[in-house]
Amino acid sequence: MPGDRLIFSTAYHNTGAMVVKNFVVTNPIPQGVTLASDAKGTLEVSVDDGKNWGRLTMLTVPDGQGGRRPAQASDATHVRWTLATLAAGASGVLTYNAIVR
Amino acid sequence: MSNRSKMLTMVSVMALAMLHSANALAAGTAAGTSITNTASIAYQVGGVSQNTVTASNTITVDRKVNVTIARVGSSATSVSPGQTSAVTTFTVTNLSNATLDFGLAVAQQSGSTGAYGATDNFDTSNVKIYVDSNANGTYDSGTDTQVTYLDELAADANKTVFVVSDIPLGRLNGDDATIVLTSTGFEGGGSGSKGAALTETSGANTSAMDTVFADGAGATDSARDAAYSIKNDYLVFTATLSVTKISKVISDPLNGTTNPKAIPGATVEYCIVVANASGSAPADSVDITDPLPSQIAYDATYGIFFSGTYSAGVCNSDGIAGGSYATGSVTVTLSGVAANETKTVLYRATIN
Repeated sequence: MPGDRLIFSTAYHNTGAMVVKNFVVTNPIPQGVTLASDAKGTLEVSVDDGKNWGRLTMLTVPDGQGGRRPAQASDATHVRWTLATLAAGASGVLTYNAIVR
Repeated sequence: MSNRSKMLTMVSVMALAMLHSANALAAGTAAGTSITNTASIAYQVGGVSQNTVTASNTITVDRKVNVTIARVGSSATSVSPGQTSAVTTFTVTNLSNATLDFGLAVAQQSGSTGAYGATDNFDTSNVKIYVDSNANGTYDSGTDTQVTYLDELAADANKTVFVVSDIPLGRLNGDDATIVLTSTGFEGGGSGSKGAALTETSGANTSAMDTVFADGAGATDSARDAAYSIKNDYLVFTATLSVTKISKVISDPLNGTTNPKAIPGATVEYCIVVANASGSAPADSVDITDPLPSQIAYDATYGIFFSGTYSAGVCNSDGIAGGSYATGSVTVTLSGVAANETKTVLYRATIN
């Protein structure tokens, strides 16, 4: 229902015997939801369909008047998590909060 | 099956958090919309990039039923006693995230305070509901369509609705009739017919489209009942006329004009005082008819004077000559008596 808060979770599990490196989970934010404004500030996001990444506070978007303004949660198009190494057998859950538009 | 997918398993799930956001979204994402969340994973094993692994999950946006009505205008509809087709105007807005039908019903409030502070003390009659077919915001008799429901109102769309009714005769200045318009959501169904009643989904969220009532409490309905109600008022604005008749003896055959007595042959001056109370509507045309009793004879020489003045309880000897006397009655039409204005009619008669 519009206005409802959602928690999107992605669970991972390295079932292999090898160490996994540069483990990157990319999650486009679906149509119909927006990143919650109280999402974790450390979350790595993109506001331009995955071209550029960073914390939300570091990003800007066009302001529609030729300049740029600070990005807001509702501008986010993707979220991404990067794990440098993932040991054999390691598992976990990655989550982000969203609101139904 | 590749060994990479054996090595990594991905599961994407969504949980509905048990709290609502304060976001002021109106209708929002359409009910029944699927939201699919897909995560893709890139990784390296032994320094070699592996194929991407993805995981996705889909939820269905539920149906949020919400409706509101607003009064158009900032004061009661001013009406005259006996007025027909007096109009009060509303805007009905579908705040749901789905197209729905909206049933419309009008109730007469009985007593208690209306929309603008006046106390209801009468009911209107011949109540009808019209939708603003030509969307000009004004009730057009013969053009706007009489309805009992709004058909297929889209999410975030609104319609202007007119409640049209007749005002009984005999109501006094300041009398108030409060009506309550209620709009209740129904299934959209199809064009041209009112759909079935809405039912809220009970129990846990299902994977299909659920229905949730999200409307507020109106004048006579509760919150979360798929309905909203609001008051609007008709306020009578009319003339408040009072009539007083005064007589004084002008002369008699024995005393002349000095302390004249009402003996046979005496001349008596009659004064009809018409007053309209302050705060009232102007009376446009006031007809005065005064049948003379058989014991007196109309004084045609003096005639009739109308629209004269009245001060300190005395009719002044002024006014405009006019009026008529026929078949034993004095008849005068005053063109208008404004609020807080007093006018007189003077004529004389002789006691038989």
